[in-house]
Amino acid sequence: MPTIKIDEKEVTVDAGLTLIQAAATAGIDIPHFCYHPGLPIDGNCRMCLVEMEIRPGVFGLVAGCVQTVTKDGMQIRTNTPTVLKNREGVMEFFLINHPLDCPWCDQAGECRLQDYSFEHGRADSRFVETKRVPPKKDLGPHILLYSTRCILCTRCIRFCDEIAGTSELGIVHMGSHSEIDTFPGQPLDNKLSGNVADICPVGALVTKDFLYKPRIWHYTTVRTICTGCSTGCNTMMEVMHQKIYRIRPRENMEVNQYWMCDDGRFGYHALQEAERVKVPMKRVNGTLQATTWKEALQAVSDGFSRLIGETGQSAVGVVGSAQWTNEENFLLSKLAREAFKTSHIGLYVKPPGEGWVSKSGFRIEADKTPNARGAREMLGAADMRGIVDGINAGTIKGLYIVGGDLGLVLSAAEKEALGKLECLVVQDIVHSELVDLAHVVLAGASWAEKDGTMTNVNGRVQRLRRAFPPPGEARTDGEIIRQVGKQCGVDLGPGAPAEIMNEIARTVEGYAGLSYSVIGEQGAMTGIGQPSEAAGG
Amino acid sequence: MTLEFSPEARQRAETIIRRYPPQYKKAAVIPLLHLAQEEWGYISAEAMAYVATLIEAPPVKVAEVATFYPMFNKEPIGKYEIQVCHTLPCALTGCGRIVKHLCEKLNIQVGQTTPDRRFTLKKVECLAACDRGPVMLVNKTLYTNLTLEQVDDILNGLE
Repeated sequence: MPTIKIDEKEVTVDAGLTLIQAAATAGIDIPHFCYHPGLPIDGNCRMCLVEMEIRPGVFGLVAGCVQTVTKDGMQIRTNTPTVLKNREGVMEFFLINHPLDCPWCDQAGECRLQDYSFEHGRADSRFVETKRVPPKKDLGPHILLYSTRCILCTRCIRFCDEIAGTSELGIVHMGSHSEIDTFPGQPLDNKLSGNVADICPVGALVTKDFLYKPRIWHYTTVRTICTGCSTGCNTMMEVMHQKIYRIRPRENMEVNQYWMCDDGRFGYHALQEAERVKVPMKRVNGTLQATTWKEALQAVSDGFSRLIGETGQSAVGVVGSAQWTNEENFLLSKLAREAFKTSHIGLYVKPPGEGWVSKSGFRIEADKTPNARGAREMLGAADMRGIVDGINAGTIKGLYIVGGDLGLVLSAAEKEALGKLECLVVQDIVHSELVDLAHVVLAGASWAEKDGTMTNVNGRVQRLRRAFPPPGEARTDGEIIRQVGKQCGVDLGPGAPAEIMNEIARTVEGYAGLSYSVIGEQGAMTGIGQPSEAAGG
Repeated sequence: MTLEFSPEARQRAETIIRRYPPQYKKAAVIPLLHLAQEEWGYISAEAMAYVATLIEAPPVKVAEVATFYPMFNKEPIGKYEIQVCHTLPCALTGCGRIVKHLCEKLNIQVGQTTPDRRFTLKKVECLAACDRGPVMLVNKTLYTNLTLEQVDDILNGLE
């Protein structure tokens, strides 16, 4: 590995890294617009020019995004008068036609043009002619282009060409008339289109969903994962006043690289617009009526107590959820075994949706549940066929089933079987088909309202983080399970998700060695450790 | 797709495409756009989309090239396309007067076509005859060392 000198700092880096990447390892940020680590290099913006020793003692400007580290002893300077003068000049050119609309631009606060203008630009402009005003364009179902703000870095074009593979965007016209555009009749409409707004270094490409929203610095950012499918894209969720305003992808090279799909990005509306179950309910004379937690929990234990056998002939079944975290499903299986004394455990399986793979290999899984794999591993059950058969055979008379899915669909056979039960307890977040059949309804929490982990389709265990508390009187699902256990006279052990994960690491096959510190921000694979190594980090 | 080359043009297109290795079909975009302009007089969005199918490229990539070059007409033009050079040497030798004269004589602005669709007037960059300015190109004929009288003669000589 070559050792090179950047601004008097010596760093040893892999040959082949670009100067931007090499400088980053030394903690030096080389300003850039068109370079993006996930896209092919273009070298068009000229903002990243730095000085490199091209002959002994002679320095020349090279593009930090194109020039790679090739040999020992390379000398790079990122802070000389020449470099700074270039940045100032580049900024002046970019700002010639750029409007002064920061006060109503949604990018303000996370805009490279704004930041670099502050750091490297001139306070005044020498441009006395009239600014060009190209039109605002509606590029597709999710994206608007404010052409005036565009600096033509072509990140969006390269994204559509190489990542999505759909090639909807191009630069039309010439010179100072150049504009990003689509071909007539072929709008920017692909499953990854929202990403172009993320990678746009200025406020030119914006999503229609995040237009004229509150300023970005007012939000709290929650580093979580997407629950739209079993890929488990790492995300940043921006939240204010118990409301989600925007979800953006978070870099994880093992899962989603820098991207996420539009279904996941805009999927939070379904949750926010759903009619939530906010209070526990009990069926009285055939209709569900709101009740208190105390009475609801009492109703659960009353309904089940005579069905729970002492020696394993329990007539109670339990069905887990692939929308639930590992910790919750683990607690649920513990509740089944220790409180309900049953081995009838199932898992609700959602009918698959549509899968898709982009040109670059970005995957949208057909399994639209986030934690099918983790739920299977926690519960030791793959579906609920056994439960349905048990009900039909009369061996299961009471069922504790959990939902958490906004699009839950029951088959006719499942519906018919559930209708036969003497006591059906449903823990859910919306008024689903399950709730319609329930005798007792416990109000649970959605993916935005709880902490825990989920295991993606490839076996990567990742953190889900709570953004705000559940609505109304609803409670987090792990808490409810523990209270049901308590009502039945059983202590299910620690309730904090991190502590439950430690217990999972001790008892569930494949999860040895995992803990919240091992999982961290980027997740960790199952099957990494043997039970004897289960110390955790 | 309703737009398609005539059989003769189609054959010429195939010859053009065969000049390039199969994986570099896109290289044929400019000659094919010239062919399309010859065929239809101008390059419509449909023509761009048609050329895109011939070179197996996304249509927007053809639009990038077609809109980059002013020599590709995106609108129908008149029978005679008059292009007057307005780059520096021609400007110094008086192309401004020529353009003004043409505008008055044809009663149109630069970039417009006469209502009888006979003449389209354009200002263009260098026509590579700087030593003989001012110059103008009428369809494929270059006229040099222009005077206003010569412009009148040229226009009168056109059918």
